[in-house]
Amino acid sequence: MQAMIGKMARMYPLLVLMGFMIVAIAFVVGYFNSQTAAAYFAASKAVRETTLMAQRASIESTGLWLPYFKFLGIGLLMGGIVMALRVIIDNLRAAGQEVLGNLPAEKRPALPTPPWYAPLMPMVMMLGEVIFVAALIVGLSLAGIARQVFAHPIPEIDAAGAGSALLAQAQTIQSVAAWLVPFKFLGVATEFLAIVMGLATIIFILGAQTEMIDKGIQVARTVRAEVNQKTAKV
Amino acid sequence: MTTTQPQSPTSGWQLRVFPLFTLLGWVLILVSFLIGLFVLAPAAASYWGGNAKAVRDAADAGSALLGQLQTLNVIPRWLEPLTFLGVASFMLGIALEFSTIPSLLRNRGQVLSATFPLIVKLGGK
Repeated sequence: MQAMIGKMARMYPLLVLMGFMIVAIAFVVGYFNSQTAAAYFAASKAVRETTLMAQRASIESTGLWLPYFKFLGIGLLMGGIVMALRVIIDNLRAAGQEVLGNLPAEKRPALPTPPWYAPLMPMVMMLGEVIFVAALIVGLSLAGIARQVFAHPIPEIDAAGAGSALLAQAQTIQSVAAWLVPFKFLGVATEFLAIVMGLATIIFILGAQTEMIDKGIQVARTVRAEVNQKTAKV
Repeated sequence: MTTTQPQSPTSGWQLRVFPLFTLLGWVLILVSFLIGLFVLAPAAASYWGGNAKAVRDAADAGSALLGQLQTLNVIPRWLEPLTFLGVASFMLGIALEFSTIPSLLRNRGQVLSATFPLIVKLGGK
């Protein structure tokens, strides 16, 4: 499992590139949305609210899914950073094993046990990505509801009374958006947690390797002393 | 030949402090999500559900509707900065972690500079 994750981690530039492209696409979509808004708000209030429903629906629905799409891009970028940290960890471990391989097997100090959070790092990163994807799916469904709501003239939406489908849809949009905004930050927090775990693992390995070099010198000295003793006897 | 005597790596104060900032960041962001889920979402559902615009606009001072409107307009104004405080805590923790790496590498350099004369000596024999 860990070996497979290690192989996948080497593809981190792909994650970074995908994340950057998503954020760039979000910028382009945002620009076109701003042009729709410019055309919409150039019209008088009466015209806006009674005839330009398609534009309003487009503006409102884009505003509901675009932030989550953008955050998915940010999430992929952060995931790329986590995977890059994993590659550094794997390379540090491989270098440590290679160096220790030069010592006699019976005298070789054992590799230190990785900290408990080290194997969890890719899982936490994936959990963060799942949160971003889930937020985008919910955002897209809200955007669909917003398209239906704003397909109606504003006076009709305003007049929607208790128990009407229009008011229920407006209620869904407002109440879901209230928790969805902090939910995406939960994804950011999860990605940050994975980065913190990765960095802590690197710091652990660097410290352990320095101690290991020190132990290696001691082993080399004792081996040398034994060889010298044998040579002296002969 | 002069060699620097290596000292065993010491754990800097940053390594003791960074988990606190990580935990603080996680707690702040989780709290903001829970406030969104259990305070803002029900308030929005009550405010928007079952009340036409005319009813919402006619809400008097002290009414439940106006209280909900207040909640929906007041809480997000401090909740978002709180969430960003959580993000900042995480970033501070990460910066503290990074700040320990130079001293670790410096220590490793000292150890390696002590090792090399030994390697050269052994290699010569």
